[in-house]
Amino acid sequence: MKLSKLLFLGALLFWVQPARAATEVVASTPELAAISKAVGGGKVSVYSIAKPNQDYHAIEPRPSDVSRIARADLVVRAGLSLDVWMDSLMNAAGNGNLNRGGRGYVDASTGIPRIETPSGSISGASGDVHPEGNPHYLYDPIYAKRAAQNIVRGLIRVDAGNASAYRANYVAFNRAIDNKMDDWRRALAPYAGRPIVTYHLSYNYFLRRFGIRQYGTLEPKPGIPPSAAHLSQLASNMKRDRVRGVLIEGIYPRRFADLIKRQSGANYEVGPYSVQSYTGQGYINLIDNLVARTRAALG
Amino acid sequence: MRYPFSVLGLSLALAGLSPALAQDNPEDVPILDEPLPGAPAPATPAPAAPAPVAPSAAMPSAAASETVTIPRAVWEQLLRDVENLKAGRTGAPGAPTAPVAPAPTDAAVAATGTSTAAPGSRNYLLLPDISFIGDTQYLFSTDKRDEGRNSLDTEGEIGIQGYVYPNVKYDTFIVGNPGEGEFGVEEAFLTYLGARKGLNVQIGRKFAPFGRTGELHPHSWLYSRQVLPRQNLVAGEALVGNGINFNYLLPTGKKFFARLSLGAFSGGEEPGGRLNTSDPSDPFEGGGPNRVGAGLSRFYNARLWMGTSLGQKNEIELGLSHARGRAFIENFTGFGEDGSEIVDVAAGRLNLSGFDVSLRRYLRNNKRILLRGEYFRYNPRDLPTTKSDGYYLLGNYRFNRFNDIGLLHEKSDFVNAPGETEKATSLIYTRNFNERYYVRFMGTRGDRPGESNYTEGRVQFVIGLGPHTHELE
Repeated sequence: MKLSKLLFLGALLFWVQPARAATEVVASTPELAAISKAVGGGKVSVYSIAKPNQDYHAIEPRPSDVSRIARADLVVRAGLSLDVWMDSLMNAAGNGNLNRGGRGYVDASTGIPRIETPSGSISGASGDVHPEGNPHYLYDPIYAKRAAQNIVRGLIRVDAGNASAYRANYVAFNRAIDNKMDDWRRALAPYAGRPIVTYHLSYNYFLRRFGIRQYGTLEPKPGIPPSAAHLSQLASNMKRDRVRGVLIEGIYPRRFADLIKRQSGANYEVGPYSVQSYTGQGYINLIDNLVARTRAALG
Repeated sequence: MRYPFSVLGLSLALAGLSPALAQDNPEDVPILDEPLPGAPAPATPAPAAPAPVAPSAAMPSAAASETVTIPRAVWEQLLRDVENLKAGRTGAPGAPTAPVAPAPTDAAVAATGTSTAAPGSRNYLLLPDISFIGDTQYLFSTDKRDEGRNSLDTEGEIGIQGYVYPNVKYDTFIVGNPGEGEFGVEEAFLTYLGARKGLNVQIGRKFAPFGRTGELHPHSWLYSRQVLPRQNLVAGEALVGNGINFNYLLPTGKKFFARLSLGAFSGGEEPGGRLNTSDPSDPFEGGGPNRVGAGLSRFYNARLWMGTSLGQKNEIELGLSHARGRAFIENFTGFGEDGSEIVDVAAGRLNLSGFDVSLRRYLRNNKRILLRGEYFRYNPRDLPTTKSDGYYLLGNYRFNRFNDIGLLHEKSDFVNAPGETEKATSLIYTRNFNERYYVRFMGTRGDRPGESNYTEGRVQFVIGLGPHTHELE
């Protein structure tokens, strides 16, 4: 009787295994966290090192982020030197699987056709130029699909058991983007070819996707704060070329846009910088919002 | 059935290329770019085109007659890849490489100079990250005894960093000060990343992890000079030595950071500082501030560093540090009959302890508040110095990406002058032009033995060239 009880308990313990913990994904930016969640669904838990509406170029490494990375199964980074601060965190975490080339390492920029890659030598005189090209590719929904593709490959590498679920989520995310692309394209079609001014070159992938022309930036060079001389020249050029659209990324100060408004008469709109929720819908809402703000800026 | 491997191989090869065969692996299906407005009309892929699969003599007839559909763009890319491979195999130096034409719908992207280089690659091979940090500062002071006043001090740091093996990184920092004729290797160490999960091992000459800022280089400080308690009780810049250090991330869950660092170092048996026991009431010896520091030559170091986020916006850190070992200190006891200095070297045991707390709050638009305090305790045994302690409190507010202001209050004993203390309060403004270039102004008002209410001003320029990184800086 005693033996049978023990056997029963043993069988029960064997049967009632603890549910496998979700795959831990640490993304460098909120957009990547949102896409990772879209692809991973309920099988993953996601965490973003950069928080929404922080300037992704300048993130201070936090010790608590180290413990997140140390316990992660997959690290997803934007690459193209946007999140170089991830190296410091990953080195401190001491998780060999997540280092460059490891099975839990995903560079979401793989396969993205890059723009604004410097062709000559660059130095501090060029501003904060990224040697590998403009890193803000996630504002282009088509390139978000490519990022999702890189992420799903990484997820399958570290959690092959749920590959079919990841694939299904990935297909659904792609489909959602494809469905929305028609709406976004229709919404921005009337503004194709129109010039627009932004603060930084953040939206250039997005603008190119929808045929809108980046006219200039409030920054004289990437990462260099606007100067009076540059703003004055920009305003005069805008007046000459009748540029009416100004779209300022939400994380940057508005006072320079106010100055341009006074000098050129062009109204400005504040565009979104980050997703507001780490879900596939969060990403789509970001693009929805960006499309709406772009229309308002150009309208 | 005669050639199962060939069939399998071809199927696997095509599965990666053909959407028709890769339905079960959608992540392998290439995502084609959509047309960019204003771009030349893309070549329309011929969806119904039969797959131009090269017939193989080794292929069974059933497989050879199978029709596989792939997009034209993919097929053309495949052909280009084959041509590139052929060109590569001929190995003719200078042979013209078939230009990689952009994907049809990427024409506009290519027209604006899109690179097709591999992500993360750079235009050089096998070169480490080489960088230079220049740190120049001018000191104004009302303390006329200070030999450094009204003079410009420049220090340069060359960093050579890179991976020497998978998960093995090497960092060297060579520091020179032309004004003082000093030049030497400040740090040079190997780091084994992930020696096992959560464990990093560092071997070589390096700053010992003592205190929250113990491993920071001067260009990463939020002030222009080392804080007074560290100068008086620990070292002018940092505890440094040749040795081994283990950093182990304790298994405390993903929300709580706890890292234990244990190290053993040897800094040589050079005296760490100089006492003036002939007149212990004057820690300045008539010249500049004589801050002795610990003078630890062979020591063990332990630090427990903990941190957690309090919500999304706050981060709190606590640290406990301890170093113990053998210390050497020069002891000037007076002048001989011939006028020469009488100096002996005192050796003894020393315990150093530290406690630190930091709180950071992140606000919108890159604003950040930092509050930090560190306390140090110096406890000698068999040394001609006295038990001492000191602390500093720092508040720093970054009000945008380019500007921050700070308030620093410091108080410290002198180990070489029993009962003497100094304290100072500083206002600091830093203008960060970018990640590599900043200018800082630091105004200080303080009291030190022999000079109450002195005023100091520092103007500091820091420039950086090239990629330069330190762990968690």
